[in-house]
Amino acid sequence: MIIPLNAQSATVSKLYSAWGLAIDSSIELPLLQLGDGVAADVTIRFGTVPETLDNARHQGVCFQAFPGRFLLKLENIARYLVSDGCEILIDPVPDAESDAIRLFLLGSAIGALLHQRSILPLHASAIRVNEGVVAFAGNSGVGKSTLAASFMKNGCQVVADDICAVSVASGVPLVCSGSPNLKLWHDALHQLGEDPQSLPRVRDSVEKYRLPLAHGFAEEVLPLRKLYVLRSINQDRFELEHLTGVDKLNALVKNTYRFNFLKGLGGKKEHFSHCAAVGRHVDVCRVSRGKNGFRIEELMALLEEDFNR
Amino acid sequence: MNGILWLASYPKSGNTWLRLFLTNLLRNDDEPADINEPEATPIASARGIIDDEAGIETSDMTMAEIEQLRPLVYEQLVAQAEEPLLMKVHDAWTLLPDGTPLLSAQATRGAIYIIRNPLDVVISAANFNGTDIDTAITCLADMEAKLARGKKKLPDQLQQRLLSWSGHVLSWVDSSQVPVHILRYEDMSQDPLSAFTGAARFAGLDFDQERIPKAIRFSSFEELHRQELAKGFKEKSAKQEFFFRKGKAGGWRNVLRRDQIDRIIADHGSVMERFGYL
Repeated sequence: MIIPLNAQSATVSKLYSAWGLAIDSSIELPLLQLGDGVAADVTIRFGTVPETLDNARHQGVCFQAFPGRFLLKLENIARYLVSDGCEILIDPVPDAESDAIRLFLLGSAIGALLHQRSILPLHASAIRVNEGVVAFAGNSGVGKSTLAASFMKNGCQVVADDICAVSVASGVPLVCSGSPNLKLWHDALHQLGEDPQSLPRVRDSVEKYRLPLAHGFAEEVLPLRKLYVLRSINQDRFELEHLTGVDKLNALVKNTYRFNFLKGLGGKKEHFSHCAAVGRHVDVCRVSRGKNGFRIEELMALLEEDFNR
Repeated sequence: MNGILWLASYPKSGNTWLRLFLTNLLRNDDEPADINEPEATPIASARGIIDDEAGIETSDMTMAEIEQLRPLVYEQLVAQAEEPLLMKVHDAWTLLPDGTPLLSAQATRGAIYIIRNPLDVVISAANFNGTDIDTAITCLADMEAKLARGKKKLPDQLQQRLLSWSGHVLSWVDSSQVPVHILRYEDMSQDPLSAFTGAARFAGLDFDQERIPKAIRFSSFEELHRQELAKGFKEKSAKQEFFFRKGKAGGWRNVLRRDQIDRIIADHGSVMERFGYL
């Protein structure tokens, strides 16, 4: 699916809704739900983005960060400048793959914007269970999206994939739903009975696919109830361990999406207190599964028994 | 001088053994270190390191894009580090299309290159990967061999170019042009005091006469196997029973057939001769 970044899309903007934000974007974002209303929390525009940030407090290979300012630089794709949690400027490289420009916009750039707005972005996929949210965190490749997709096949609705935005402004951690898509690899789609060939790739050059959710998506704000941190082990068994105290807090800090950005953006203290607030309301469990073979149905049964308890 | 000291080897050549020796040496405890908690010697190809230091998801990138980032990530790690870094690596020393070394010469302080007789490597590799020995021999001869290819699912490690066994050895020893200390697995097994002392000196860890023998004892095969029996080892492959299996050099004499030995010698004879395996 290639949607060109044509002249029209550069001048006419549309309003979208995701992560609890009204987003007014000049770049078409077909992966997000359209929003209504007139007032936008965030604007996304094309513009000139500097090569470097003056006085960057922390920099990584592809980013520079300063309180209120964040620069993402991707060679052959685009530069993104994220400011004060309310504006993203995109400076695309000529002839860059448009899907790639959107992919990193809705990834690291949005991650930085959420950090700037003091919304806690957990590196997690999440589903709706009754009137709450159950989230699956863990390293890339551990099966977060696959697990969310499998629950969706069983009738659950997905609320987030990869970035699970948690707001603790009211004291209770609330999840605002993200994009109505799941990003899945070839083998995971096969496991789910989906034909990868019939789905768009996230980018032409990467063998990862986008599964649109339609009715399998819940666009809502719901309290976060449970967080499962997934990991794979070399033994053929499952383990479920309820975390408490420092282990629980560490799990929340460690599973924060692009935690490194905070070193430059500032707000580490606030982030820590948000994690502590989430920890007070949410049950956090470490889930270990065997490396060889996901045995997804058994894992789902184990988790369901736990979160329905 | 800051920089990364690579603990480099072809897979199944004693890298974990060296890491656990260094762990015991650095910790200097009264008891052997937990085999599941080695001192900071992360693997260079860990996806999480690259994602964190680059600030993006490598799972959204092409292999060529990721490889462009890798040398910059190592330079970034060195720039942030307050002391020299130790990193495990199985990648061969290769160059990107623009001629830049994947592992960044600029970020590199040196390398301890662990080499093991390929006649023993094939047995260990077959066990680890759950293949037969002939498949392992074919893989050792393949200049295109890679670890963690994962085209259809996402491995937690990035793809690593191994080259053939001979290609791997020569890439580090001759082509890298970084200071390399060669550590033979067979010497670690037969004359551990001298082999491990040499490695520790090269790493700049020049400890006293008592600390090194203690670290050798605490990372002896018997100790590692005892701990694995008691609580398992997280780096074991799901396909093998034990990671620490025999810990001996020369096991091939009882395992390989004549035609298998001949194949390995035909593939790697000149490098084997150079390092005393023929």
